[in-house]
Amino acid sequence: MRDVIVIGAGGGGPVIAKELAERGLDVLILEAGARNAKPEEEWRHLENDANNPVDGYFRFGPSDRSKPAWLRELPQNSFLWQVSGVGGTTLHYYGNNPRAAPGVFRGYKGDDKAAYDREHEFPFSYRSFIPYYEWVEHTLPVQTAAMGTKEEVFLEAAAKMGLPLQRGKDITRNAHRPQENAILQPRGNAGRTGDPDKLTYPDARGCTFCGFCFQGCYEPRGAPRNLSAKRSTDTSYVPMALTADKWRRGGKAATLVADAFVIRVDTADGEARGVTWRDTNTGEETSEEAKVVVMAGGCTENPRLWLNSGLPNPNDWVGRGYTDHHFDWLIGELPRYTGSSKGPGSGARCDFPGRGGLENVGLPPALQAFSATFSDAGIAGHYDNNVGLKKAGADTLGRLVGPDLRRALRNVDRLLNVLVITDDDVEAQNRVTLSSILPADENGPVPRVEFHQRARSRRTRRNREYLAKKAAKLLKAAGAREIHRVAWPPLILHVHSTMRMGHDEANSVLDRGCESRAVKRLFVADNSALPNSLGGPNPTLTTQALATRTAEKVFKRYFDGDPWVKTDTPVVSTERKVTKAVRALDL
Amino acid sequence: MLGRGLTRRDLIERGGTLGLAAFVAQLPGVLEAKGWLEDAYAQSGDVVVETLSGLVAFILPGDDPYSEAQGTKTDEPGGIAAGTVPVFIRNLDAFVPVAIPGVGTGTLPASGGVAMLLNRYALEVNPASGEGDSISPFARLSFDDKAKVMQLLEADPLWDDTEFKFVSGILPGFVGFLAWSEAGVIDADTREPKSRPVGWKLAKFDGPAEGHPEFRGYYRGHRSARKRRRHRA
Repeated sequence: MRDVIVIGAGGGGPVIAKELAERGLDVLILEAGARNAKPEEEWRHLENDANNPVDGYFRFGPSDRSKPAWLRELPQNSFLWQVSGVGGTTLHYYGNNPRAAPGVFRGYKGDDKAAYDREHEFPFSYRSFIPYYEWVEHTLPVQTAAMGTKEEVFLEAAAKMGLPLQRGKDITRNAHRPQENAILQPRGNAGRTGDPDKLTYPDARGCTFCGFCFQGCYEPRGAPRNLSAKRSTDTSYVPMALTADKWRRGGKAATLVADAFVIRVDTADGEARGVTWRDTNTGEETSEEAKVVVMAGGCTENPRLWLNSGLPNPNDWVGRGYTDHHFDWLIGELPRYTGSSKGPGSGARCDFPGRGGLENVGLPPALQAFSATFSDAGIAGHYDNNVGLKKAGADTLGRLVGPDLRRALRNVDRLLNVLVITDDDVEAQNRVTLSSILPADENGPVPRVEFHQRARSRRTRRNREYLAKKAAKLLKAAGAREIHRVAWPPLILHVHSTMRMGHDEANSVLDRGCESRAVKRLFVADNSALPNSLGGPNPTLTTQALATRTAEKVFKRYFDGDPWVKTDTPVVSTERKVTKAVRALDL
Repeated sequence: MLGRGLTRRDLIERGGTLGLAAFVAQLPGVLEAKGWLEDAYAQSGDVVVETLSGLVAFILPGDDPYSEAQGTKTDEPGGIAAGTVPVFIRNLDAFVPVAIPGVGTGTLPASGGVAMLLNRYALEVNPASGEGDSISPFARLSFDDKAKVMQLLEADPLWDDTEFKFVSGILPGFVGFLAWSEAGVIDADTREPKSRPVGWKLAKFDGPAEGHPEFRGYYRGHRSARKRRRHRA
């Protein structure tokens, strides 16, 4: 019997796995997708190869790309951007690691207290959570982002709007700042040359400004896996979990099995007892017992697995409360070079506590085209699909197509994109259930993901409009000659809260320790455990801090251990002893 | 069992993660409600290619006949020259060949369903599109009329709460993604482009690189965010 089985090696699972392996527990990590063992050989700086949702290597499907992707039902205009494989969605993320807004935590006493979703707050205080943030920030590590041209343009425009510069990590007021990113910042030749011969490790260290965060980071070439620039979990927490015995006295190396789709959580007497998984290559089913099971398959897959396992759902909140930051997207056409296709995906942001935030996003051309044509507001200049939105200071509303799209994309490096990240409410209507349309696939009944875009809460819609106006204003300040508001439908990419923790038993699934109320010894350690959408900041850091906190709860409740975050010192994922262990195992 | 040895489940599974599986599953019932089912079965593979070429040219016009037909021909290549159409069809069907005739009872590959919808709405927008040089009514439309087809496709209340809402919303974005990517010129063996993709030329995109001399320093010398209190490390 294992001590702990973790389901999913995405943004959260490897965190709790590493923390508990470091404490000497016997941990098994099961990942449904690919191992991603040799990124330099397996990945490319090519958008379709990486990001095509049907057969790209970052699709949501089995590692064998000749097999169909996994099914899901979306009964509305939307796109669910899941990624399978070791690293999960951190494989394509930009490494943005802001802390959550303090206003979404219990006990918040700021003057703007009423501006947040108070019914669905964190069940503990922001202050009590800071040590967990610091632990993760130190481990990854999180660093202040350097600028490329697009960041320089964005930040100077924000300053022109009168927004002050935020120098601390905590969000306290409307402000602009360089991102706090889980990216090793450029050293040596990195960022200073385009000559590939000079961009190999160790002549180049950290981010080389290649511009391909979304296709997976394997820069600089030749670097040990734990020294790749972007700190996705496949380069940070996974290598640490697999080598925990090498860098921590008393640690025990975790076991990782890829191509293992968990199809059932096994229970007895109201407690989790283990899991059953299916080998996606052979179809063989395997069951293994554990003292504790941790679900970390994501906001869509966790509710699906829960329901497919026949686990109790007494208040009907499993799968409910899906939040996605109600994104919007504005594109500015500038008369100058912005370098939008180069450098880290996003190195600058603005925060508006109680409303959400804005961040710059650079893209290569195919994703840029997608971003301009994915809309809930029809075709700019032709029809608006009765969306009920205004231009918010932009020149056009809706998707660009034909001559307009061709013209807008005539130079990808003269664009400046602004992502609107809304502080959106937890709403029961936005949810995951099981599809009644599609037949079950080989892994069981498939999920149906339901978002009611036009019926979101008044506060959510108001926040988005406020931010869209700010985004247009920023682009004007940057000198944009033409501004396009695309009015995205749900782009389900920042995902949260479908298995939410909470202090109110009536509208939450997990208790204050992220353990299920209905099934003991069953925890959740990914974005789905978040009680809300954090006030707008990107979720990964908070998920990883919460997973660290949950590791302590698991250790204390079921292994008679003591918490460590407030007393111990974290090991940085880039430390020499970790590198040595990674090299020894050829990870 | 359907034609060519495909089961209904085969078709649904191969609809793929785009969500087209549910679209394929729901299609026959919805079409029957509109009285379009028989027409759907009459779509040939050639009609599918012609119709989806009309859609690709609508998203990214170029120097091709489809762009000319819709009145937006340019001097430079566009989505057709980029090789988008076969890739688009392959992705819609997720490895299932376009084979409407003979598929039989109950369901259709996604590309056939999409083509049929575009053509039926084309006839509603402009009944005269039923006749002309192209075998696809949609491909015969002007650019403005194609926009009206997209409007009908998005707004038809018959599609409420069905996968059609997803399909009508995602189609332009997916075509745009493919048209500006390397997909149309990729060498399947090496996974490298055989030539410089059209989209890269149009967007003045440099293409793959290990890095760029793009480092512009740290904003106002801001190198490290202050913490409320320092960690022991």
